Amino acid sequence: MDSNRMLVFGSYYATDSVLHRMDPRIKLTIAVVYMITAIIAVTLQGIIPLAVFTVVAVSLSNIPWRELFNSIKPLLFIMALAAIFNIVATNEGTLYWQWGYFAISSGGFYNALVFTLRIGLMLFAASLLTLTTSPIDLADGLAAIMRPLTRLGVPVQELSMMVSIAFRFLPTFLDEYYKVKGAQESRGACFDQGGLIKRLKLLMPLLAPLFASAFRHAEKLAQAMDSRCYRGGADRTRLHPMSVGRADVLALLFTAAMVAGLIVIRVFW
Amino acid sequence: MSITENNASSSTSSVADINATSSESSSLSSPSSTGSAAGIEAAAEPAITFDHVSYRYSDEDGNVVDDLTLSIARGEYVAIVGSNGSGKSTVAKLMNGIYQPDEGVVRVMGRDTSDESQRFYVRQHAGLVFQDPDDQMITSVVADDVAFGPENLGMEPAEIARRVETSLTAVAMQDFSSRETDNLSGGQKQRVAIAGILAMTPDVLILDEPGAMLDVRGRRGIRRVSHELNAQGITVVLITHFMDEAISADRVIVLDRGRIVTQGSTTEVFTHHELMSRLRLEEPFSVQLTAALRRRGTYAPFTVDEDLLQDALCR
Repeated sequence: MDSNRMLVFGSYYATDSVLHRMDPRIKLTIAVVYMITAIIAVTLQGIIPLAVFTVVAVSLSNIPWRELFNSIKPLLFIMALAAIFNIVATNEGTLYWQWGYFAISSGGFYNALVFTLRIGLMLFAASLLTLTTSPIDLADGLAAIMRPLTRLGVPVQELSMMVSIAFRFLPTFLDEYYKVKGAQESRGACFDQGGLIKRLKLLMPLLAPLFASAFRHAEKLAQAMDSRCYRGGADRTRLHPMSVGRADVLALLFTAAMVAGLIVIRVFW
Repeated sequence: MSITENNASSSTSSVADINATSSESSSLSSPSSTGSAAGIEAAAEPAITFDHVSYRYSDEDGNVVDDLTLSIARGEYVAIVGSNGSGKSTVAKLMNGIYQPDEGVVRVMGRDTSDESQRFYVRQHAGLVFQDPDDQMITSVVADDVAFGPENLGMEPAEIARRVETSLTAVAMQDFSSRETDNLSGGQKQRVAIAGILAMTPDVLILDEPGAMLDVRGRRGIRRVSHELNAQGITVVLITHFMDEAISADRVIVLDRGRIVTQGSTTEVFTHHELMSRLRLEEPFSVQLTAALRRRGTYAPFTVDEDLLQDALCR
C-alpha cells in the first residue's frame, strides 16, 4: 500500500502529543472558534493571532510540518482558484490593467494574499483536528456536543458511529478505487483524456463496482459488529472516557487570547 | 511478522488471565481425551451442540445446512473442512447466533441461540473471527478496535484497558496497541481481530477461514495463536479449506452440501483418498507426498504427522 497516497485530508496521524490527548469536545469547540475567527480576520494584521496560534498548535502536535502540508496538498487548487479570483475581481489601489469587469490592481494582490492565507490556515486547523483526533474520538466528541438533540429523537450515538466508520473505511475505498481503476486501465480504459464531461462519463464504470463493494463491506461489517455484541449507543462504555484536563483549559485560554488579540488588532490597528 | 517464542510464553499467562475474569470459563476443559487442556475436571455441558439443524437462505435454493447434528466438547480443537458451498461458513454463523436455524436447535454452552434473551450471551461466549480482517476493523486504532466488544458490554474503562492489554499480548500484538489498523499486514490485522474477540473472554473461538486472505507466514501465526489459546482451555473451531491448516486439530469434521460426510482424527480423515478426491479436497502435503512416493514404488505410511513420515522415510 502506498503510504503517501493514503495520507489524505481527514486521516488520523497516530502519535502521542498534548493535542492527541486533549478532550475531543474541546478540540471541536476550538476548531469552530478558530474558523469563525478566520472568517472575521479580513486584514493582513488580523491574521497574525491566527498564525501564532497555528504555529504553536502544530509545534505541540508532534506532527511534522511536511505531513501537514501533504495533507492539504490536494486542496491547493482551491486556494489557487480563490487567489486568482481575488486578483482579477478586485479594483482597489493602483490599477495596472483593466478589461471590462476584470482588473489587476495592487488591492487585488493584497486581497489574494490575505484570502489565501486565511483559507490555508483554516485548512491547516481542520487538518490538525483530524490528524490529532482518532475517528472514534472525533465521532464521540461530536456525539457529546450534539447530545441535547437526543431529546428530539435524533439517534446521535448511532450517527456518530456512522461517521466514525465512514472515516475508518475511507482508505479502504481509496485503495479499492485504485484497484478497480488499475484493473480497467489494464484492459484499455483511459481515464485521463478528453474533456470534463467525457472524463465524468468514464468514471461511471468505476462507480458501479465501488458501490457493489461498499455494500459487500457493509454487510460483513454489520455481522462483525453484531458478533461483538454491538447494540446501539445505549449502555456503551468507553476505553478512554472523555474528561477535561489541564491542557484543555490552557488550550481554551489560549484560544480566548487569540480571539482577544484579533479584536485588539481590529479596533486599534 | 511472526510470533517469537518469547511472545508465545507471555501470551500463555495472559490468556489464563483473561479467562480468570470470566465466571464460566475458568474451570473449563475437555471432557474428551483428545482435548489439549487435560487435567481439569470435565464440564458436563458440551461447548456447542447442533441438534438436527437445517438452514436455508431462500426456499428455492434448498438447505445450505441440512439436518446437521454435531457436538463440540469444551476444550476441544475441531477443524471443519469442506469445499466451496459445503455450508461450513454458514455453520460458523449458526454457532454464534448471527443466523438462527430454520429447523433444529443450536446450543452454545447449553443456551439456545434462537432465544432472543440469550443473544448477547451467545455472541460473547462463542466469538467469531471472520475471513477478511478488513471487514472486522471497526475503528482505525488497534487498541480502540480491540476495546469495541468490551465497550458494547458496558464494562468499566479500567477493565476494558486491562482486557485490551491482555488480549493483544495473547496474540503477540501488544507493541502495536496505538498503531493504525491500516498500516498492519493481513496477518497482524487478523490477530487484532482475534484479540477483539478474546477481549470478550469467550469460551469458544470460531475462526471462519482465518487464513484465506493471508500469506503463509500470516497463516502460521494464526495457527500458532489458536493452539496457544486452546492450550489455555478455549475451545477452538477452525473452519478452513486448507487441509494443511487442519492437520493439527483434535478432530476433523468433513462437510459436504450441509451434511457431515465423515469425522474423526486427522489421520483417519485425511488418508481417506477416495473421499478426499470425491469432495475435491486437497490432501495435506504429507499425504500427497506419501501417495507420490508409493506411485514410484517407495513405501511410506499414510500419516499427517510430518515427523513420523520423516522417520519412516529415513529408515
